Amino acid sequence: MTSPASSSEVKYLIESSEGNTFDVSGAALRQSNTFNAMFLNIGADGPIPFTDYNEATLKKVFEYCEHSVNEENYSGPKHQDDLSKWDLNFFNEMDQKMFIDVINASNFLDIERLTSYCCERIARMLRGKNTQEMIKVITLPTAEELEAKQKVEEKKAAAAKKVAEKAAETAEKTETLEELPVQQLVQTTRNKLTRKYLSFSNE
Amino acid sequence: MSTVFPLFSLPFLPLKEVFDHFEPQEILIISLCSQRSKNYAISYRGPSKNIRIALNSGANSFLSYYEDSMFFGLVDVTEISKLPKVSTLETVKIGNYPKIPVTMGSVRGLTCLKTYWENRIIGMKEMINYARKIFNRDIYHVTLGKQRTENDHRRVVDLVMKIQNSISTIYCDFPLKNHADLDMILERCKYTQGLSLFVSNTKDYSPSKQPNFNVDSVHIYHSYWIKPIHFMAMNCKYIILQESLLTNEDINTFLKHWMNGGCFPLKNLFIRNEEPENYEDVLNGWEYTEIDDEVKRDFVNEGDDLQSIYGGSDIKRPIDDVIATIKNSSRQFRMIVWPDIDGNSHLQTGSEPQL
Repeated sequence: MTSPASSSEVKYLIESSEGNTFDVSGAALRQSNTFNAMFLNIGADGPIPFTDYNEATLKKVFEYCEHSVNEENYSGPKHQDDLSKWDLNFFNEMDQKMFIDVINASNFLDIERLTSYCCERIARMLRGKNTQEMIKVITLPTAEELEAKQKVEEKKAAAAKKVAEKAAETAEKTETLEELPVQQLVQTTRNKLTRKYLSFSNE
Repeated sequence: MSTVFPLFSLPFLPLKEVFDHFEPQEILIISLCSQRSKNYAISYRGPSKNIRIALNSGANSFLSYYEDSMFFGLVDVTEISKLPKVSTLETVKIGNYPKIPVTMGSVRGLTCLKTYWENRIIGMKEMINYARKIFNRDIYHVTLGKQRTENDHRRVVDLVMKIQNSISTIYCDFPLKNHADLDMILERCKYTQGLSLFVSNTKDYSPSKQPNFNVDSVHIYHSYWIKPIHFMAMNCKYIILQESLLTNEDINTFLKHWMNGGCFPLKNLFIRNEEPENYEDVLNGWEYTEIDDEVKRDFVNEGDDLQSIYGGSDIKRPIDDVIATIKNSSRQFRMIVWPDIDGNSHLQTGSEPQL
């Protein structure tokens, strides 16, 4: 890592979950409030470990930061209609998994602008939907599915109760030393010895 | 990108920010999707909930909300007998009712969620309770239109008062058939900030008790029934009386009352007379400063709009030297007390003529 006078020229090494490292400019990194709080003033000796996120996600996040280096200071959520062609392409070329990973990474790195755009995009996705459509999109179980799930759980609980009752009955009938499992036998013997020792010490 | 998105797997802050971008109607709809989404909608605090909920009871019964003086639809309550038979609607759980048919639709031009109930009043009760719970706030405003069935107004007022004891503002717009109806509204409905009555057919009406005129704003359109005893009881920032029968002497008496510290919060008084009345003599007996007709002064009116007043006469309240400008003509009387709600002074001159 170099340390020239201007922070915009500084390059930082970022380490991903795969252990790979890559360069990010100081100006791009400064859009991350997490980075600002952790490293900006004290510097970093080696690669900065953002090892909860894979290389592709981090590169995507910092691609956005590099692009918006020269944009005005962030002043609250912007309407999705105000997005530039570059911004729209940036979002459109992501698949869903990448999109979720980017939100998570952006949230951790506290990059307000990117997080806000992602969140508005999600809100837009849900706009104008009725309850049924909303349930499908946000993958919530339907009332019928919940009912069915509850029935299965009730059945399971009833079955478990039955088994437990049966086990308790059997245990009552056969509670002799010979029939106890080895571990229980050892514990019982240990308890007896302890009681014996205690009774000696009391004398 | 796929059209499926596991919203509730998002971390707390992004999830909150998604909700920040929602419209209030979307918060209501998502709350109906599952117990988890309902719990989150209730616990969420943010800009999407900064609304004033209004209950409308008239030809339609529905909840709406307003932001920046604009109304938006929230949820409509309709009898199940009016349910469209052509298609099977999805059902949701609302309150203690597990299968309420719902669909997206519109009521009086406002897009909203339409819900269908066996009993409309029960539906309104459940939806009021539900909206209050989801948005963590009381119903702010009640509009009473033309009754669909006898005693509708009584049921609605009693329902709202039973749930939350008071409301901020009420607006009534219906032809009066029975004087007891308006008496009931004025007595039982505890409005704390504003009263707007556009109730017609009130020529012979006289309230059985003195209505509550100790609120920010009173706007009465067919105000023939406002007698000096009612007028003098008003203690408001804004008073608008249209189709009034108040005389020159009545207003002169009110001015005397104001000069002595009565109706202290007053910022804007507007009276329009049914019959031509000699309002030009209203200042008789007072010292005033005549302002040139070309002098324009800006003020913010009761609807938060910037208006200008040209000329007029300035009078000074002796107890605190507060200045009021009076502009009168044969049929209308306007009084603006300075500074206005936005801090505009009688010494400032405006730029855009509007009055």
